[in-house]
Amino acid sequence: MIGLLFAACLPTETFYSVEVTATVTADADAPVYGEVLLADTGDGALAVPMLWVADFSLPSPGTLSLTVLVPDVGEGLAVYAWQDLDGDGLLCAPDGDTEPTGASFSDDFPGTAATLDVALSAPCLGPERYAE
Amino acid sequence: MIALLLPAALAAPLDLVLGGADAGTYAARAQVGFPWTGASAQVGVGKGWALRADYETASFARHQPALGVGYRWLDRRWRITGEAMAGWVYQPGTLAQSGPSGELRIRAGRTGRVVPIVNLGMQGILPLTRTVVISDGGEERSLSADTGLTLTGGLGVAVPIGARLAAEAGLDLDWVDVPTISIPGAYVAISVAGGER
Amino acid sequence: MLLFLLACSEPPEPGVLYDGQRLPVVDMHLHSGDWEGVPSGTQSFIARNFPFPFNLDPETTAKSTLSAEGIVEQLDIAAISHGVVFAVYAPRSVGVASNETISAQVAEAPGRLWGLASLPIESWETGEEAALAQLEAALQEPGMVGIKLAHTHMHQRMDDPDYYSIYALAAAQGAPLYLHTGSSPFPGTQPDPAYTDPRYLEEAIALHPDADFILGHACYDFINEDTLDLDSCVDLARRYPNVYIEISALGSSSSDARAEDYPVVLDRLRSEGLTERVIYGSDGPQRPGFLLAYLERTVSVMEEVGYTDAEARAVLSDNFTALFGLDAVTL
Repeated sequence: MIGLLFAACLPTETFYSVEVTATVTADADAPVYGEVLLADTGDGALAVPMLWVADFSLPSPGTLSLTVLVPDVGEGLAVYAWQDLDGDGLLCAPDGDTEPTGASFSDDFPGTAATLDVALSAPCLGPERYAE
Repeated sequence: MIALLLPAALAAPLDLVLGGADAGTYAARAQVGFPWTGASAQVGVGKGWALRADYETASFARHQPALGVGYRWLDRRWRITGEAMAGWVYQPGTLAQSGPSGELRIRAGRTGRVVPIVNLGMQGILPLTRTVVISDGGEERSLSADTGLTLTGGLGVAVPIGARLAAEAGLDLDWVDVPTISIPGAYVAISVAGGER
Repeated sequence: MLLFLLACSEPPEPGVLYDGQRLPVVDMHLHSGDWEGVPSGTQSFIARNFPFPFNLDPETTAKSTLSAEGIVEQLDIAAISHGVVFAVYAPRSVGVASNETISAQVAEAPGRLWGLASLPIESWETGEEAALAQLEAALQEPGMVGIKLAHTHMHQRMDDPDYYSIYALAAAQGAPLYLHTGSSPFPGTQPDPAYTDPRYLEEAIALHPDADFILGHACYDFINEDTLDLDSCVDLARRYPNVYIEISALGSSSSDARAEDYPVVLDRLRSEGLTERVIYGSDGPQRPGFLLAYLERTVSVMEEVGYTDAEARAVLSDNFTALFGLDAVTL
């Protein structure tokens, strides 16, 4: 009985299982690394755009489908990606190549599916620079 | 945590021995302290057994109700009793946790006009989290459990006041949610008892 | 109990004993703010380090430590003459302590506290001009003597030229910049090298010779507890005269559990001839007694690796006051 009384007070975490389809285009044929992000979360001084949710990678530009558990703490989804031209695993390292980045946004969140097209062009930008 | 021990030579007011009581006796106890405040009640069912109910709260921010049984193993110059309790730990706020708990504890004391008390115990907790996943197929709910451990302990002194009352003071030396550091607490309590031995 | 007694007794004589001399101390790295300005994940992270039962009400527990009065009390216990409190705009990780909050705290203790201002960098494309104006205004407030940035907390690439306007403003205002370098154990930080490795700062440092860059935490990796980036830190300080190194947090018992890394760092900085560019800070207040504990640890390590009293004095106060254009601290 005690359990029933307190069962309603359990901490609850809510997620959306989202089928994300991302098409990444670029001029070069090299590995792509990317992130799925929540576009807008939080309020006021604690508002945070581009909140990381999951990582992905592709051997070369193309289309990727992945199922991501997205916490129900914001609105909008984004996909950010960059291309590892010099194969060092780092975006625009001091002794490496200048590498392209890009991002795309979808308003389809909260929701269970999102399709995004990302063109890699702008050099060396982190995902936070694409905040809208 | 609540610490109780009563000398066999004295009457009911000190008879709220956790885990043990004579058939037909009953007792209730109230404690105030930092951080633990609470109340207990028990009914003796004979042959050293008792049924017990506890409620305690730490700073009114962590709540621990429980029901259990106790048994008196030794009842001579020294009284030693044991208890098994089952209940719930509910702690809202920044470090929220909520889940079933189980505790085993032993209490011991030397009977006399002034009764020194010691208690030791171990409480396991299963903090539960409800997860809701919304997908094309609908909503899926599940429960997951973490584990937590509290080591309970205390030192105190009880003094009978008349035939049916007893006063108590002591230190709570619990290690709550191991390995979090715990600061010792202190309490005062009063017990009242009744029934016929 | 000891700390309670310390708090209730008369403050000790200011300064720390080193090689028979009493040296003044400035702690240039202190945090403040409001509990509401900390994101929930970080609130949990912080609360888990509070003892029971104080972790049941972490807001009240934190408030007493983070107030100006609480900070000055800890400075008194540690016999530290001055402290520097940081504004922070890092909603993704450690939270927000606004310029207004910090300048108000400095105003509460003008003879004891100075402040470093900061600025919000979210949505920089559209918000840059307003943020820079906000920063410039904050620097005009009494006691606000420099600028604080933390690239890993704020998710700000160290080599992103669009942020160089901050360094230009720092140079124009004569406001030294404190930059968190190395990784951070807080939730929500960006651990990639572009946000933690000081090598990514070199272009900014080279392009802004009139700005002074303080590399915080001596580029320590708090996640892996190692000093692998110390070489980069030292290299930058040797090649650029506008680079300084601050030594907070890496010597604490939680960051350097084996007590091995702090002596390595202090010894390296001395052997490289950089003691005139090393600045003391603790990263407190964290908990009652931390400022004192970190200062004692630092003094012990300096003695262990052979700092002269002149070198110790430089690290503990003179380098800070000289860099920030303040009067030297006297006891």
